[in-house]
Amino acid sequence: MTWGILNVAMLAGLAGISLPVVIHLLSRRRDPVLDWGAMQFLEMGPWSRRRVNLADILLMLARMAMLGLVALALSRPFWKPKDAGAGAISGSEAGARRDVVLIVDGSASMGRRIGESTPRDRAIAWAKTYVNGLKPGDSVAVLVAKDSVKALVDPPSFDRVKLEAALAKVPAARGSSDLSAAVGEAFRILEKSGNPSRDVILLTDNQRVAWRPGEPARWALLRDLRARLPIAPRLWALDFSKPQGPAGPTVETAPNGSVTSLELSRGMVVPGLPLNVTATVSNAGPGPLTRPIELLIDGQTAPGTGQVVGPIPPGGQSSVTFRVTLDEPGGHLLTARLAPADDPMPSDDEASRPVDVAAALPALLVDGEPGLEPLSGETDFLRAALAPTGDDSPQVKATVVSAKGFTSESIKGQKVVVLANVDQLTPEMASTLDAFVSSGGGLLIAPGDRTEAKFAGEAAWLPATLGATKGDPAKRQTVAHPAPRTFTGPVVGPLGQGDTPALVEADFFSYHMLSPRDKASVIARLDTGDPWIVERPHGRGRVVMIASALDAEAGTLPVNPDFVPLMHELILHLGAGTSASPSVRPGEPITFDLAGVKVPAETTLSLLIPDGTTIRVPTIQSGESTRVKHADTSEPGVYRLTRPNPPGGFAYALVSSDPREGDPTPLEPAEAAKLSEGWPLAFESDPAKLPTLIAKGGGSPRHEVWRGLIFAALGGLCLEVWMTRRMARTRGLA
Amino acid sequence: MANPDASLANAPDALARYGRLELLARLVVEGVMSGLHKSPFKGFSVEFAEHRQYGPGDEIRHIDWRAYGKSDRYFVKEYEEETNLKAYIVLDASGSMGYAGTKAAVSKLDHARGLAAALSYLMISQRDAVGLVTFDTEIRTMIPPKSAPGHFSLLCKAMEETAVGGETPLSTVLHSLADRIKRRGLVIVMSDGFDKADDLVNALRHLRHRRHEVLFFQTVAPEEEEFPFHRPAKFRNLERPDNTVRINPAALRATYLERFNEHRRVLREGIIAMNADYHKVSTAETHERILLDYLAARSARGRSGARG
Repeated sequence: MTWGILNVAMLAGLAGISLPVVIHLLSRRRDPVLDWGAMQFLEMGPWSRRRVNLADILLMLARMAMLGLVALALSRPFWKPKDAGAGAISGSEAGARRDVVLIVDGSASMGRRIGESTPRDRAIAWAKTYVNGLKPGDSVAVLVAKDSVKALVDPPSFDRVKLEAALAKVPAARGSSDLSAAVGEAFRILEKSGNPSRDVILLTDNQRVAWRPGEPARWALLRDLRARLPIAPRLWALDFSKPQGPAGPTVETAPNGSVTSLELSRGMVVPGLPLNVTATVSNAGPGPLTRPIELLIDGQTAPGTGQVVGPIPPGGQSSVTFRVTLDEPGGHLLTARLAPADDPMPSDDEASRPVDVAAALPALLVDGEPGLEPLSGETDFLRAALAPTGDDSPQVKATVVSAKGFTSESIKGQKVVVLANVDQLTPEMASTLDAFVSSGGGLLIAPGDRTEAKFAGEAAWLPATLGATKGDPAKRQTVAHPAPRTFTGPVVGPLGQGDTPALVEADFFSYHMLSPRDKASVIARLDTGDPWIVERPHGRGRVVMIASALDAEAGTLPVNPDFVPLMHELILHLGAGTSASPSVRPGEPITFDLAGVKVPAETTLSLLIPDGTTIRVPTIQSGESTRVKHADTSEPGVYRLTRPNPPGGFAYALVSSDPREGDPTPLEPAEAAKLSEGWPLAFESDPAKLPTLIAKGGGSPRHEVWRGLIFAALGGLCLEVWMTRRMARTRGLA
Repeated sequence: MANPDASLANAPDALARYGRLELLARLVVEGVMSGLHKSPFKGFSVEFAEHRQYGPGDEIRHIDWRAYGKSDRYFVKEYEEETNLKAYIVLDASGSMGYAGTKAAVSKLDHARGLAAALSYLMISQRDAVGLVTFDTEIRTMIPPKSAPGHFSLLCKAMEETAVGGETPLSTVLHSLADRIKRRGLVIVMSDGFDKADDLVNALRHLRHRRHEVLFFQTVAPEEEEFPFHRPAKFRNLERPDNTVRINPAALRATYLERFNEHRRVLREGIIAMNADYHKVSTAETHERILLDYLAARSARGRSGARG
């Protein structure tokens, strides 16, 4: 026979046994002293004294025994026959009452349709049958494992109706899942539950990604957590990936295509300027994939964007580029969608990306050498390229100031600052520019003949240090050309493509030698091998330094056909900053910044979340703009906020799930065996066998003895009352 | 009689507070005597000794009418022993008499002192001689009996100066007293009687054997009679302060009361059997009340012909 304790902490209550003794000792210390004359009547013979003492001791022992029995009963001791095996308390016992945590894998792969049903449908149907088959007194908690764990029933419930309702509410299969996090949550729930037998049952499609077999540290931590639980539960992983029974196909027939990413050619989008949107399509197999794909803008198909992608071999991927022009400023949602087909997992057939179309990019052009005649100033060509005269809605709103008029006041409200042939910056202006770039602004430096070698001192944001000048503008002799084959990155890369890029024709009569500094990268070089354009991120912004001036004196660049697109791309690139994160991971908060929108205090806006429900979210006023923050992003997908101004406008935010979710690779048996090492985690492909397995794993039943102890304590109470009354009577107190 | 200090007299604790034993005794006695016709104390001889002027308290039947016819004044006849009634008040000042408790305002000794003073005054005012014996571990004071009015003050002073002492075997003291008092008289013992009951009865019988009239006032505190304690406490012996016993009163109460009552029963029956007087005095009662009760009882006995 084996003994054990279920609630070891309650054994601390045994200390209560000492209470009567402590009370006796304390009261003895506080005994008052009475002066007394009639001592002759108090003196007792040794026998009488012994009898009185014995009765007192017996009474105290009865009280101590009563307290001890109650403490022991609360600690819930049990015994079981010898064949049950000694040692650690097992979490699963046939016949004993059980606490069960059901973890339903809520990832998109659970929605993979094979035949008439999905793993999710089968798992929920099995769970309902299982819950109904449990005994009264068994309790069940239900968790849904997604990117973050969602509790549907917590703490464990005995109510079958409540459990059935919760199972009916398991959300649609979307996003990815993290089973280890869900197991951790299950342990937290079981730590506080009360039944002597405990199980964690994972209802999954056995997808490898959800199990994270490559992260052994997480599983080691879970094993450690389990060992610390008062009653360590057993874990059962049930595989619902294949339909049970003879009916229907058991393997997929059509290939599973998915749009895994959507990239924009430019971080800054302005009205009317064409934008390249590149969608990456993956094929998880089986068989090659050929599918039409189209681009949707704000949910509406963009005319003329339909293309066919493929054939993509199983396991391969391919890119499709759409060229679109967004005319309306404000928030837009771009979606690339594969045309509906017999796809087993339609939920990953599209990918979305929110874009913000700015009205016009404010840029400040600082002219270090203003000219008296037309097109003789440093920034005249640049201003004309960015905001041509006669254009009512230019993509860049350019303001020109002289170097003397360049103050911290003039920087306010600008997104990009261009320093053209500026001789020197005051330390104050250098630090102002530091703050400007750090907070997301863009800075373009085009040094000229007036620019001094140490024009910005040792400013931290400088991408390169200025070296000697090569060539003499006065001689108008060509000393270098741009080398388009060295152009890299999304800004200048496209301008270097083609057989004869126009920029190769640009002549430079003089340029500065640039020595790139730490973290800076050269995105374009001259044919002399010297750096031409150097870029460096700083804070949330960027700084670009170009080796030559932008006027006609230093070369023929301003009249080159690619001067306008180069300047546009550079300025828009600088205006986009570096922090424009396209999406957040599930669980991270999303923030909508509605610039220039003012709403009354305590206004709430409606937010459409990916599962189709609409909620109201509070607004936060900050200066001239309104901010909306939403923390519950457990559902991956597009969150759409209805803007108060302009009416009918929307703002979008994307919560992206793990792109590996499209990979249906199952957990390898070797990996499963490794995960099962060191703790009772059993993988079972036939869920119908689970009750038998649990019974087999449990061994012989366990018998709790707390009832008997409570009865004994009650008996002790009766004995104590009887002894007290009897003593009172015999001692003349009653 | 109109008595401005009546309230004082009614409160036994006033004795301790003011120490005016003498005044108190007068007040008590005069208050008591105003309700009685004659003194219950008298000698037990019939041999004529002399005439004496009549005074309050004298019986009318003792007036010598013949002498009145001759002198036109009231004279009473005095008898040999009547004139020489010698009373000894034996006041126990042992440690246990120092017990006061909470229910009474004064200690047993103070209470007994007040009663002794009142009795002294009563007897001296009847021209009986009163002496005083105080003792603790041994006899401390022995004032021979006298009836002179100034003697009362002397007695009071001696009583006021008496303080509680150590442990006393009362029986031993009474035996030695029986040997020392030659002329027979009235021995009034004021004690709590906390000694072995049989020894005490034997000692009193010794006094009776010497033809003394014996009057035993057993002074007890209410707590000693009821033992009303519940919580465990350390009981320190008043007669031997080094003797302390930890007792759970709840456990011992029944035994204590049984022993206490048995002791009193043996003492009382032994005293009554030797034709002496026993009177229990509780310190919670007033002296007037005790004196009145006792005198009334004694008068009733006198009328019924039982003489001590």
